[in-house]
Amino acid sequence: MKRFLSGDEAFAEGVRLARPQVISAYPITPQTVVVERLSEMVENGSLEAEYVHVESEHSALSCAIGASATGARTFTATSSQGLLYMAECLTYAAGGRFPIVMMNATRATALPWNIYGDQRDSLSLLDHGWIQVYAQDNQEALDLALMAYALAEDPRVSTPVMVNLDGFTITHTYENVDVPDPAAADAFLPPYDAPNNRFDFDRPVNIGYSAGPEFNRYYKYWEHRDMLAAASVVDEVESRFAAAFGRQYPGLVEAYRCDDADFVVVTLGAAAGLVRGVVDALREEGVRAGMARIRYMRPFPTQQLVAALANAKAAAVIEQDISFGAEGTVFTNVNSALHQAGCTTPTFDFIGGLGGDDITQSQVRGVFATLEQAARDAEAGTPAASAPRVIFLGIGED
Amino acid sequence: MIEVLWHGRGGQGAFTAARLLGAAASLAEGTYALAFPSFGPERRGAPMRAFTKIDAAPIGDRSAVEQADYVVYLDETLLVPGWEKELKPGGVVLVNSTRDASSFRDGRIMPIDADGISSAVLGRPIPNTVFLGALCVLDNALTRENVEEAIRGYMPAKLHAKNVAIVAAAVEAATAALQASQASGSGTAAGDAAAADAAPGTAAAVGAASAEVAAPSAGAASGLAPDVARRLVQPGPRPDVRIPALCDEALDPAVFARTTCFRAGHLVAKNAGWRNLRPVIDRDACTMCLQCEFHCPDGAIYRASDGAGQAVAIDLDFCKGCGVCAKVCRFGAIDMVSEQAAASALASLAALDEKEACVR
Amino acid sequence: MALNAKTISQDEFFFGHKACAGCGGSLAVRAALKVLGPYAVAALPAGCMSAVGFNFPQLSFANNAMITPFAATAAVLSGIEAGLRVQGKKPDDCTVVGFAGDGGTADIGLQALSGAIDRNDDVLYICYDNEAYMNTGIQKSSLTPFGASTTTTPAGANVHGCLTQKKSLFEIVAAHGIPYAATASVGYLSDFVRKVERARDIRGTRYIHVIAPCPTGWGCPVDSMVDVARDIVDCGLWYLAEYEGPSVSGLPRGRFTLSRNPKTFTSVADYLHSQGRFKALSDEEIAQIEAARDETWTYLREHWA
Repeated sequence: MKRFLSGDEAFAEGVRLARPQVISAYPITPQTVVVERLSEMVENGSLEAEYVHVESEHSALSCAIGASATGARTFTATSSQGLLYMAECLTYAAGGRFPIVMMNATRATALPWNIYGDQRDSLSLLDHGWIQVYAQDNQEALDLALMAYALAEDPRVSTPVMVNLDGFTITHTYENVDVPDPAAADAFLPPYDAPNNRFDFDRPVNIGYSAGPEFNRYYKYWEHRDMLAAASVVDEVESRFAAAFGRQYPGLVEAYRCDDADFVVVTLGAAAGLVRGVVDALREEGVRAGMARIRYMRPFPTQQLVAALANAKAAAVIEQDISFGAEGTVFTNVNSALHQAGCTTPTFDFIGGLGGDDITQSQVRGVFATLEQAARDAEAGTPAASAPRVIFLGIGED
Repeated sequence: MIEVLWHGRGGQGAFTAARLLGAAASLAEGTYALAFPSFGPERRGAPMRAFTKIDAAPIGDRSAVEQADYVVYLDETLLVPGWEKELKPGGVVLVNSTRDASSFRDGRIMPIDADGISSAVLGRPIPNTVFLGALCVLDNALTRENVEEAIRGYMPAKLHAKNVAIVAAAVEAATAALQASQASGSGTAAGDAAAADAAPGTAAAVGAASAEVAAPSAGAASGLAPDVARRLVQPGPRPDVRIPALCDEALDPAVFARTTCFRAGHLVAKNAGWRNLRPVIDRDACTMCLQCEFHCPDGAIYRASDGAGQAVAIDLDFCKGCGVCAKVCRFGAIDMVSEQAAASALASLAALDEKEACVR
Repeated sequence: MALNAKTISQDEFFFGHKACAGCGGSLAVRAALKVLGPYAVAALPAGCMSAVGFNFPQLSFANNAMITPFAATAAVLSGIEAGLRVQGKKPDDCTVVGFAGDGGTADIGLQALSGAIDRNDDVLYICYDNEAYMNTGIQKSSLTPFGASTTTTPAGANVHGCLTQKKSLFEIVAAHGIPYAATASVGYLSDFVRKVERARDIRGTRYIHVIAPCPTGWGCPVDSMVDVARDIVDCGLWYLAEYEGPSVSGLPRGRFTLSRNPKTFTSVADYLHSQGRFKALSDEEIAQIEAARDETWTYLREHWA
């Protein structure tokens, strides 16, 4: 059914279709609409779930962990400071292998105080063991609500999933979405079954215990391995999703016009829509431009990115975060992938969209122009060795 | 590098001794030291380890000592078979014990009555600094003056004089022990180590197989009255109840490490090694009021049955010897008996029973 | 049926743990789980009992149990309860129970506890109070009493230990209008067991605050743990009481009741002198503590007796 919904509302529809049994959440802008809609659904009976009105984000995720330990399907949602406030619980959920799904409305982190979108919150937590996926529009957001559970609960994965929706540019922006039929959603996503990771009254268990130096490495090794294994499960889930609903998603990375691209911009989230338009325009102008949209930051799509960038003369990352004193986190990850593949494509990091700042078409054109110039310099044998590799969009040429 | 491995119980001061040793050794010009405890959740009374490393160059390796030049046991009950795996060739074991050196049947083991020495000064046994004095005698890297300075530098002021006195007494005792072993020609590793400045391999030839580190033999006097000794025998096993149980199946990481969810009540270790005292129940005085069972923090007291009916029994695999049971017993039916006395008495009983069996 | 030493279950649900010898907290957990039975689901935050109870592969709880984030005991309890109920998996005699220390309850866990009581989630929260952060090595919490030396309130020539008063968490909890709350001591174990039994059979949020001496942190002999837990009650520095909220008492403000109202107290000085942590206290300070006790009891006898 076609409906004109905000990203938050679309995601709430997706959550309703996924039928979580326990929802625990604490309000924070710009996530709030999701929990308001879910509360209404619980009130009117269209979602049979226990909504726990926790007193903080820390308790929100803790409550979800407790519920997941009983074998219940659980949902929570947060943003920014709230995500940081629950950060210690992220590692509990991941280390305990609880397949909780969380929506994060990506937002700037204080100070200065700022409620608008960027991706510093989620990208600062890449190492906490959660699968991280970024939606580019409202439809993908809704569909990810369903696919996230299928992925998290797959016994080969058993890992929590954070679905990131760009604050305001997705969460509060309205567009048409197709809301799937509940029966079809039920067929796609059967009830959660966790025979080996929940309380059992016939065969009691101890959960979330401690493991000392002689055992700890095994848990961490398998957490890593199973996260890596999630990559192929993503493909399976997306194939099943396409068969059920007719929408095929492209895996960990969407490579857009990359096959013969000389210049590729890597980005994630809603910014991809903007970059895609610029790529199309440049193609018409005869520039072989392309875009690699990272959908999953964890597991990180090393091979897919290398494939997308392998033939490029230069590549750039446009990202909405910065690891102060180093570079953008996405850039670090992309460069590592290229380096491991022996790929020497020159790369540049463009930091933009911080604290809700718009990234504009002309800025994206400027990014491609930088790549073209770098390629010309390289061909001329005069690469600008001292040129900055980390560039803040909208801040002068210094 | 000189490596020292300290075995003690939580609360006995093993790490304090390890730290003081490191501090003392590094007072010498051009000497570096590291001291650190084993880190873990075990609590007061639980066996724990501490380490001291001493070298003429800065020490980068902060990992645990696997084989030491000196292995110190602040508590004799911690010296168990397999001890020699922790000892370097030419190394020495120092153990807090009243036993005679010869009774260990291994020249590498040097007993020192550290409880006795420290009790004489402090009025209660705190054995840790005794071994600093002993190590002064055994190793040239350590001087008595530096140990005393470390005590003054790193212990509370009110403990300085007494611990300096303990070190003096320990030096005397260790010197005497060393001379005795050299005079007897037993060629102890300790003697060799001091004589040859611990040249590697000096005393490696001393056999280990015959070492007698286990409980005292049947001949040793337990000091227990025969009727108390008889009560050491438990009336029977725990009835069939829900309780965590010891398991020994193989653990496969590819199975257990995929979640942090595991069978409840899965035990792999006993806590018996924590205990210096054990409760002994006088069945005649016991009224079966069960206050002892009720108040045991470890659930180590249970109701058992034997030919004479129901009786209170102690699960000695898990009793930590806290003595709460004896204190809550209003009928004086529980005595706390030293583990060593209990072990000797049980050995005597076994010998006696064997003899009786032969007579019959 | 009132449980006592003879009638309480012989099952052991907390066994083989690595707590110190003579640990009051482990006695509280052990006794409570015997009352709650095999279908109890326990949650414990960081703290002594989780540190000594769950070290893979040494898992000392025989029933379903888990570790929670430090601040989140009550939130995890709520999640467990909601998860079991919504799936229809909660047996009738299942108690979802938390065991947290004084710091885990009165300090870092207070917000989550307040949230759970606000929601009136059907969980039992037991605070084993050993009056300091013992797991990390005896640091002051907001339930450390005045005058106690801890490693962060060391008694010296200038300051005689902890300068703050023990927070009255029982009254704070009661002020929420919780269905049932109680104070207890492992020195009066039958009273504690009776209160756990009572709490087990009440629905909604229940809270029990049990004094559980830590010989290591209190500086008393290990075998005196139960005696000290009795002395603190007998000398009047801890009271045994119950609060029945509006839903249980039928009274709009609920009802407080003293479980013990001794005519005379034993010596406060003797109680304090029995523990190394109080040894720096002057006679004047001891007199202050005694005076504060008398004020408290004047109030208690007037309002709760």
